[in-house]
Amino acid sequence: MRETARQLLREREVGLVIGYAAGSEAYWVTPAFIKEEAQADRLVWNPFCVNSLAKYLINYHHEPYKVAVVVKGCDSRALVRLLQDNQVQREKVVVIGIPCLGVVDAKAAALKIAPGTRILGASVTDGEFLLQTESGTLSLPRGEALCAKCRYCENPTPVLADTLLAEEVAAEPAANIYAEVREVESWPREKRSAFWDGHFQRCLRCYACRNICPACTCRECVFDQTDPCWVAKAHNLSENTAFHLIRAMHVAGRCVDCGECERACPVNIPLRLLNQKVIKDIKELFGVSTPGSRLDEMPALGMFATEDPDEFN
Amino acid sequence: MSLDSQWEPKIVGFCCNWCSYAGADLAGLNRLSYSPTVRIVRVPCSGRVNPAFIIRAFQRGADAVLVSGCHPGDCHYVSGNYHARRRFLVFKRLLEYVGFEGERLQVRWISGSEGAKFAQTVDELDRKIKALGPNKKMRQEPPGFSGVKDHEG
Amino acid sequence: MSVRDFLLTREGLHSWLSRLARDYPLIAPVEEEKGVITFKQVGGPQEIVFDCAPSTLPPKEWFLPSTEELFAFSTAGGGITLQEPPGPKERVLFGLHPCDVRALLALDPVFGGTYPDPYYLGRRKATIIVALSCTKPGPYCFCPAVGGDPVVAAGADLLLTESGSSFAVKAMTSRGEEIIQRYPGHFAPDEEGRGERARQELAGQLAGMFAFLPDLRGVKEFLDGHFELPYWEEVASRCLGCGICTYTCPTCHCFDIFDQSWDGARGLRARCWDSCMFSQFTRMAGGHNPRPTQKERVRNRFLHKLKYHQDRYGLGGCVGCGRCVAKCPVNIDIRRIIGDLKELASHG
Repeated sequence: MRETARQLLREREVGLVIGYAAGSEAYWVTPAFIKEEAQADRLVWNPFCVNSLAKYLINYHHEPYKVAVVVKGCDSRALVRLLQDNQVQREKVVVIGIPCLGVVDAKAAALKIAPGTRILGASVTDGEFLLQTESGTLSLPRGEALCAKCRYCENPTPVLADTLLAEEVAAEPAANIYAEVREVESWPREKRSAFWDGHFQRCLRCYACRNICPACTCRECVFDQTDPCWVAKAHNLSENTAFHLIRAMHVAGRCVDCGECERACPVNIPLRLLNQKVIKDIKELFGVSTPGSRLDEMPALGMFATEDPDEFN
Repeated sequence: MSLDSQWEPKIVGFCCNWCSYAGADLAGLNRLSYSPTVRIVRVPCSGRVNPAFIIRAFQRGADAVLVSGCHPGDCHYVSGNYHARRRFLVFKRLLEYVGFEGERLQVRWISGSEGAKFAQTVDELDRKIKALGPNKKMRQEPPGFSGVKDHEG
Repeated sequence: MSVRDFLLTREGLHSWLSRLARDYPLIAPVEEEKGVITFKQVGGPQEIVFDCAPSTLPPKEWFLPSTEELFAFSTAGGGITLQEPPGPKERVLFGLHPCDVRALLALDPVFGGTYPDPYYLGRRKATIIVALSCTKPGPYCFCPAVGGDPVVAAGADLLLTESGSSFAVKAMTSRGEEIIQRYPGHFAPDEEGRGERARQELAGQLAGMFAFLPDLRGVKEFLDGHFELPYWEEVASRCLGCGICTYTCPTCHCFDIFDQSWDGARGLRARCWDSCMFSQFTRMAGGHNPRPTQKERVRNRFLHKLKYHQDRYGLGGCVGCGRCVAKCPVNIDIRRIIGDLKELASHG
């Protein structure tokens, strides 16, 4: 990755490379914005590179230079989202794709890795993540440490890339991606209601879910408008529920299931469980793929077919 | 307010200007009687109805929302109702998922000549909501002290 | 021997907390959701999480609620009538760590200065604070680096320190002493200075347990002379502009005031948390925004923590609880920021 970045910068192919740098703890990385060849050594790739970097591209779309961005499979769907929404121009992006074997859930890793530990190297096997630290090799069993979103990965290999930094990884047939959604659906209504009320009342309205979302690129967000005021600033169950439902519908058909909203949420609201419900229904109703998987398949709710199912006669 | 004895459902009906609003008009012209619990909001097209409108209606005391537009194929704007169809198939399922009673959101295609269908739809919805009782989910009270935080205890 | 020191057995603590929960609204850390610890009113000690370090959200919600109703208004009958909210009842806030108490001391001059804020001060006055010494720092804690003390919570009414199978209790204020007198039979006088020894011992144990203590010396002086730094652009390029760091911060206190009314004739004026990370935070009515990009916003937050609060009140704006570190989705880590500023300072 460092070599690719160096070359792109040296040959002035791009003016900026967006990748990952080591974070302040072993299980965190932080986005890195590399403008000079000499800084390319800061770049890292390891099983903690969970962040989706694609959305950062929109901060540079007025720059004269091209920008290179590192994407995993799930992040490439986010990139497709941005391209379809005309937030990013394809000819101004160099996509460095990394076929990915799954990333680690930092919250799970934090329980196993002492603060201050330095990671010297990492590898992924079928059953575990192996981390070389100063005090020896540490193993994180895949079952415990794998990010929830990686348990069923539709696109281990980016759907869009100019260069792939590793061999393609084939997608496993995902038997039941939406098992958790179906579980919630099967509950009695009162239980569903109490479940979501319990989560929504906790919302701080910090807007991290919105700000990290590759489908949220409006210049002025409805939640920031005071006139008309669709969602009041007041934090209470009703307004918080309105916030989450409006958001879910706003990204309906455009949410690429990257799971970043849920990862960013400081109070553990299962946002992916909400957005996956919509993705599942859209797939079942309209026969589309997971949004962002195909550049030529536009968002489901922006289109229609005369033969769509009808329940409203 | 004693809910049990005096409560009447509040139904907000978003009716498209070209079909359903005319359908409601026709129901009136034909002297068809239908439940007065519906309050009609005229919208240009069922495709204009943003889920936020429905959410706001529930917040401000609606017990049910009716969205009504032209039959598929008859949209004045060619495709607005096709878009609405996709949107509300998804939104209704989402509302149910977070614990709403699905009956509280009704979407119906009612043409300008279907005055009777309009009256029947409203009456049916009124009956269903009377059986369900008032909606509590997301409902707000007019702004006043809510007793949150340290007024309790 | 001080009469302000007492001992409390573990059973004694539980029965005392049960009594407190009956006599007062008792607010303490609870695990609201797996991995999310917040301060909530509890029915008894069985709900309380004793060993959180620190809670996911700070207790500031109980002094500056995320949404706070200021007054109701009505134009019924001509003119305007205003109605004040009922004042807070006396309540006990249990289980604050020393950093959280220190954060309250940092907030006090903000709301108690030239323009006293009756809402905050009313809540402050109505609250009896029972602090708990840390027995183990959290993974991102760095209070010693910002002048904090993980064991002694100056500013609390009572301080509890776990020591073997019992707790050393120190009444830090006369109000703390009154509470102890109100519950005779629970507290045994500590006549041999065991509490003091326990606190010293704990302080010694904790000293080596902080993984990352940034060096703050010279950082404020550097910032005093360097408002414009290209460094902030680098930080801002990563920042999402969300409100996590400010909403999980025990000393961030910005709010926005708004009116709620359905008909204009009666309604409510309220305030709710706001965040300097938000792009509209400083946007003015005419559209001008003196902090037009995330660079200015990020700079403002760190300068507030490391400089402005010090300038205005002579108090640190950061208490080293590490909550923003724990929750930032892009790993903007104030400990690293301090280190980077230090390095920039040393390079002139």
